[in-house]
Amino acid sequence: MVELTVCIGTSCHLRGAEKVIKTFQRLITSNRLEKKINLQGTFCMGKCSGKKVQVSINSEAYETCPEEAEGFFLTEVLNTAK
Amino acid sequence: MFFGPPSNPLDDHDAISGFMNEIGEKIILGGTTCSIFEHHLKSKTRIELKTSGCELLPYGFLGNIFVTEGTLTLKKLNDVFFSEYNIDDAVKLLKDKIAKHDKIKIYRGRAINPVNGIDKNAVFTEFVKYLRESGKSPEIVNF
Repeated sequence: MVELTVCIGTSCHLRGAEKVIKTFQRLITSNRLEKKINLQGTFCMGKCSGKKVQVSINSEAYETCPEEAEGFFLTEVLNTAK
Repeated sequence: MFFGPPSNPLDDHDAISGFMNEIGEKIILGGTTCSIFEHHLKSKTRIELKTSGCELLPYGFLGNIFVTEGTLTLKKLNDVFFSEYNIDDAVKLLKDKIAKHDKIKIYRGRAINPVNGIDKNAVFTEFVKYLRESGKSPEIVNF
């Protein structure tokens, strides 16, 4: 099971965390990955000064934004889930 | 209510211990604040992702303690404090919880996150003003 975590604290919320989550939820459903990927939120990853929304895949840190979320999922997340 | 991290991290333990020993319903506001609680309580917050929408502010539960994002949620609550609000989100849950209580003790952490550019102090001052105007008795402990 891949643990995909999105920060939804204030700074990441302002950078579009909710839209990133919606994109991930849509792609998990359309790719039938509900049993392979556990999408969860966290209120702070301690990287508020980052430029984009903070994300982790199995505790490894990344960042993305609403415009790049689909590409991020199709590369980084799916590669990990294979 | 616990709003924001203490300005001095050395006060985290005392502030959290004091808060946890209070009697009554507990609410934590703030993502960083929530992380500090998670560390001290050795517990993880369960965030309600399914109820989040692009326009909605997130919330969750740390054990049975209601947890929300902080300043944006409180700012939005201020905007609707004296009006009807029926959107099923963190603001409505917070509004309903506050409405149930006459005495509200607030542990106010004075640390500021310089990144998000929101005037946390102004939002908090307005919130306390509205509590008093609605007949409640807020007690504030600053850290």
